[in-house]
This record gives sequence, C-alpha cells and structure tokens, in this order.
Amino acid sequence: MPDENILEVQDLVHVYQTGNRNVPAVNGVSFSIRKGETFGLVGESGCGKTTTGRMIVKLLKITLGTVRYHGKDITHIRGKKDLMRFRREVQMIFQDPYASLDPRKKVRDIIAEGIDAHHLAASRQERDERVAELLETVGLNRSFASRYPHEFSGGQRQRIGIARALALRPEFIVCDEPISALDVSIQAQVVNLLKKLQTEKNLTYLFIAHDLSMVKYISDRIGVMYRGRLVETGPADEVYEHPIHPYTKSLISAIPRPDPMSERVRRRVPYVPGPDRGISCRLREYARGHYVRCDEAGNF
Amino acid sequence: MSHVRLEVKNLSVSFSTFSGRVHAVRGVSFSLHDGETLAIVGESGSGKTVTCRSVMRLLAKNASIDSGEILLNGTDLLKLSEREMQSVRGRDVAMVFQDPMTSLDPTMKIGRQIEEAITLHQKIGRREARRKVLELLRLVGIEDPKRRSRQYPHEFSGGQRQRIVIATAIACNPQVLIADEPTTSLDVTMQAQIIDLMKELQKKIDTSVIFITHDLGVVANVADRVAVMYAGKIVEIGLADEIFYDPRHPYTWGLLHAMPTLDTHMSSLYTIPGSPPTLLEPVPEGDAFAPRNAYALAVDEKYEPPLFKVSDTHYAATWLLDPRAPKAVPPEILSKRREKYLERRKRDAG
Repeated sequence: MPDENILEVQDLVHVYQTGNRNVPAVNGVSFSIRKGETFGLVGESGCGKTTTGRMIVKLLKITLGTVRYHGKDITHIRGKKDLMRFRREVQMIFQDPYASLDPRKKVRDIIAEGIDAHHLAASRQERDERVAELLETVGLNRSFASRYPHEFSGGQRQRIGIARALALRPEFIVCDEPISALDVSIQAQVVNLLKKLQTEKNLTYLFIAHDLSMVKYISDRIGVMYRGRLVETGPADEVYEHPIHPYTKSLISAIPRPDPMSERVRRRVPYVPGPDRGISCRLREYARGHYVRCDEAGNF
Repeated sequence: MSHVRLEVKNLSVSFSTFSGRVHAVRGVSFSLHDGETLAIVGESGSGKTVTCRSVMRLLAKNASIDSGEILLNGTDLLKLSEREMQSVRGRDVAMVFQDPMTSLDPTMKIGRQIEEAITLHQKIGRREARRKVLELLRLVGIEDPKRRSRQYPHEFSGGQRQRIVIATAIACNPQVLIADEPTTSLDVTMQAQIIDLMKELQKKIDTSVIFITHDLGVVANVADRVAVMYAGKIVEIGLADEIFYDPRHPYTWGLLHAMPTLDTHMSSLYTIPGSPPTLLEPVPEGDAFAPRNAYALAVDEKYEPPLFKVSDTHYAATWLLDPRAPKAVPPEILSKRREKYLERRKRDAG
C-alpha cells in the first residue's frame, strides 16, 4: 500500500514544568506521515516543533495524546524488547553537529554505538566493515573512522551524525534542524545527501526547520506550528502558494529572497493573534489535504 | 561619488597555530561610503570575520597584521596605540556579534551594560546616562524599558537580546557599525524584525554598516554593495544588482546557484564540489578556487588572477575576464534571472 501511514500523531501534548508554572509547549498536535514521504515542520523558535520531534522518538515524555508507529501505539511501550525494536527503526539527526558528537570518542565508536547496543555485529571485523560502509554512504573517507570529531568541519560532522542515524537501518528519521548550523553551500550538499538516501533506502523523514525555502524544497507536505499548535498543514507547494492562515502568510512574507529587486518591494505582513489566539478554532479542511485552523473570514 | 568613510587597503592577517602559519586574510581592499551598507559574504573560514575584527583591532593574541592600512576618515587605525584605539572602539566603530547570549555579560543587569557603553566615551552624569539607556531601549523596541533595564540577559529571548546588543552598539552613534552574522541564530520572523530595526536605526543615526552574513536573501535585502570573499580574498565586489544579476566570478555563480528559492523544483540542488583550502603556509600558488572550479583554466594553476574591472563599481578576480580567455557561460538559472532583471528595468524605465 503506497498510502500507508507510518506515523500517526494524535492530540499530542507536552507540558514543561518550570518552577511553579506549567508551560504547554505542545498543545494538541495531530498529523500523520506516509511511508517514504518527507513531512516538514516549521515555525518560530519556541513554537514546539523540536519538542514534538523529541516526543515522537521518545526522548521526551508524552504528557497526553498518542503516537502510533505502523498502527501500533508506542506511547506506553513497555518491555525492553519492544522499546529496543522501536529505537532501531526510528532514529534522529540532531541540530548541532558540534554538541551531538561525543568529543572523547572516535568516529568509529560514535557510529557503531547503536550497532553495539543492539548486538548487530558478530565480530570486530564486521563492525569495522559496517562503519566503513556507512562512512562511504555519507560521502566520507573510510579512514576517518579512527579520527575524533574535533578534526572535522561542521558539514563533515553532520555527515557523521547521519551515518550514525543510518547505522541501524532505520525506516523513519527525525531530522531536527539538520542544516541550520551549516554554511549555504554545505547546506545544499547535506540536503542532497538526505534526498539521495531517502530514495535509495526508502526512508521517511520528519524534517524540522525554520529555513522555509529549504523545507519547501525537501518536503512533500508541511505543517506550520504556532505556540504549540498546528495552524496549517498540507502539500508543500499548496501551503506556500496559497497560505490561508494569517500566521503562515506572515511567516512566508518574512523570508528574504536572493533577489534585490523583489526585496525592494517585499512587504512583511506582521501577525497579530486574535483575542482568543485561535483556541476556539478547529482544524478544518480548506482544500483536499490542506487543513487550516481559522474560520472562513480568516479570523482565528 | 559620496565621501569614503572607511578604507581598508591591502590588508593581510595571519595566525600562528600549532600546525603552522595560517594566512586568513590575503590582501583585502575595500571602501565604505557614508551611510551605505556593504555586505560581505563567503563560507566559514573565508576571512570575513577576521577582516572585520581587524578593523576593530579585536584579533586573538596569535594573530598578526602583516600588511595594510585601515583608514577611518583618513586616520590609520593600525597605527594607533591600544589606548587610543580604546577610545575609537565603541565610539567611532562598533560591532554587533553573532551570538547575543555570549556578547552580553550574564551577571550584569542589561541597563548597567548599556550605561557602561555610554559613560566610557561620553562625559555625562549617571542620571543623564540612565535616561539615555531608557531612550535607547525604547529605540530598539524593548517595551517597559524602566523595568526591563533592571533585568539580566537570561530573562530575555534571543531576539530581544540581539536588540539589547544593538542598543549597546549604537549608544555612541558610531560612524561605522559592523554586524557579524547578527541574525544567523534567529528564526525568520525575528530575523526580519532585527533587519528592519537595523535599517531604521541606520537612517536615524547616519551610520555606515558592514554586514557579514552567508544568507544571500538577507544580502539582497540589506546591501547597497556586496563583497564576496573566498580563501582570504575578495573575489568579486560590486553593487548589489551587479552581483545578483550580472555575477562574473564562478564562485559567485556557485553561491547564487546553490541556494534554493521558493520556486526551486530541481531534483537536486547545485553544490560547489569539495571544500575550501586551509590556507596553511605555504599557500599553494595560483587561484585558490581553481580545484573546485569547473571553469578553471590552465593559467589558474600557476598565477593568481588580479581584480578585473567590469564597471566603475564592479570588479572580479577571475581569469575568465581576461580578453584572451575562452568565453564561459554562467549557469542557465542565473542568465534567466538576468534576463528577467533587464526586462523589469526596461519596463520600469519605459
């Protein structure tokens, strides 16, 4: 079935407790991701997109709501066996390639950490061979295995992070702002690599980012988050070309384009939330597959 | 032509490191006119930050300025004593850094930090300085400045912190403001607000801005002129329109081509192959970009190209501009953009 949902997220809530205040960082988010597609999650910092990603890979506690992976509820996975299996199939690529690699480990051991934890290599030789293969897959030299992370540039480190995520032959990868710390020319290299791997290995991505032009380029469908809620979701082209929600419009109007002539006339539309901040609105279908959280008149 | 406020002439900077001498900036020259914004673009390690830190004389201890002059209204900043430089720094030339969390003192209330920037250069009383702090906070769009000035940096969001850093930088109405990737750590909405703020302030206090960034969208928005740096050199410099619609250097072609726009539907993005050179001594002869350059000529391996003149305002360092060079065709997408641009100009004129 080509349209099979690999992941279904329903009414996801995460509450951070800070002192005596409860902050609902994610407040009732629902979406689903089909096998083999890329779902882009965009929004400003603090909108809850990273929190959502982290709950899906079970790095954060799910306060309320359910996450279904292949139709199976993983919210309350019990037992080591099931959890180990889930962790093998779902991997994550982190934002900061400087902070996400252990500086005291060699590249070989960073990449093989999952292989070791899951006892996937029978011998040392097999393990080294697998690491070398992975390095080549992400476009790095095999000999890099015995080096340390500090010897690499940002783009190379991110490739190491990708190799680590691929080590367990996952089906689904959460990419949490994988390119925002990189230079423009390196960003393109990493995005091309991610796209190539997706086709070769039939991967499904949740791509979290705030760089809207890159998200549009890589994603099949996108979701726009604002203050812990999904305000608009639909096919990437459709959402960018016909944004309905005023927040989406504002977000798109804020993107600077590499074109001085259009920059001179571009007007940014600021977003002013309504009095109830759209709490009373529900997601409704505006066009096929295109959902918006605001009413007909654009009130929200 | 308007008055030249800052002129950098043939600047070379090197660092002594454990693995040898690194030539980070190799003969950079440019000028900054009254009230204009010059954007400097390039990859990490291309020397854009080192160039600007040289203007501030804020280089690390292992750096040495090997040659060059930095003239601010005719005075060579490189010849000033550290003491004299201290009175220039912050007053005549100020800087906004990339990371607003590390450029503010976490243990000091933000009002005190801005006040310090004022009293260091101006002989005014405490009360007057306080009044000015509130005025600056209001100017950069911090609401309720009286209460906020008594708070610490961690009580502000990233965007607000950058506003405070900007308030500190403009406290003495500097003639030159250097902004080193001021919006890179911010999201699009914040970025747009900070850029609008900087443009507005630039008009108000009549400062000239050097804007370092690798985001070409931001460049298109803020820049009057653009300098493209590669491996410690300026490889192309010109008016924003000249760089975006009539680029001549293959590296500039690569940069412009690599960035997806909202109407990009290619199956894969263009990338510049390989990575920039390390600039460790001895720096290889010839054009530093040649190994990554699909348009490289035989001459590139031996001789470095000089800056060729394209127009009075536009220069590019590539042998392709030599009359003897074979004609090179830039990527199709760029020629299309140029056509569109010329069409639009014709329409606007007629």
